[in-house]
Amino acid sequence: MPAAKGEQLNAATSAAKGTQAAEKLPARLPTHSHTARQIELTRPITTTKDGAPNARGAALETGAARANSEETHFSVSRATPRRVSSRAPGSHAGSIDVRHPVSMPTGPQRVRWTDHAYVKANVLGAAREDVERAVIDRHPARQTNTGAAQWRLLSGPWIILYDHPDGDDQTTARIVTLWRRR
Amino acid sequence: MRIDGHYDPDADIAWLRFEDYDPATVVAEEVETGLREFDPATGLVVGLEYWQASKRLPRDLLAMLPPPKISTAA
Repeated sequence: MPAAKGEQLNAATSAAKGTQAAEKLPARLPTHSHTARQIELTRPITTTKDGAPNARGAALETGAARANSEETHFSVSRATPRRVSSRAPGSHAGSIDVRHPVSMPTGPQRVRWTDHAYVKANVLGAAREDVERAVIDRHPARQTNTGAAQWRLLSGPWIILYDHPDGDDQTTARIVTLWRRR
Repeated sequence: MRIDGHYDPDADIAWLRFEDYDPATVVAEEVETGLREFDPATGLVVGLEYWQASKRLPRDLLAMLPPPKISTAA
């Protein structure tokens, strides 16, 4: 195993012992597993029915203990906002609310039209803005569809067929066609 | 009979509109091949939309259909 990798692993596992191992690291390596800790701490805390943290929660609290040993404050109170701070306890700057971690978008943020759908909306007199708003806002109310597109959405007199994601683009929905329902 | 329409190769959809197609009132229902559009007052079919058109329509017909015309509003 290369020496640098070994040192990195060693630093990650011995973080609870203090910063001694981190100080031995080469300058190019992170002084602690900051990225890994962020990922761990931003996982949701889940509990079992009796309120005890499950395995994921336990792992999180283990991470908290490790974080505390590195002068990082972490509160796990379930009644109050959970915050992680990269500064010493008592400092108010640099905190992150882990109840709202950086999240991947689950629905479309914008809309793309096929040429066909764009022209058809114009011909039928469908307000494109309304259709786009419906797709973005009411994506959770969509139905699965078989046929021209992945999803189906009813909005006023219109039935809208669209794909989401649009290829690899998780932020975009692609409207394939629409029609006025009976 | 006059027929309007287009073929969008990106969506692979062909749309045909026949005489008496009134875009203000036309309604549609799904059929196996796509959509059947009809006049709600008369029940007459006034339009057809083909999904996966390249598999369902003759290549010569698709070649005759123009692409969708995106007009820019003044």
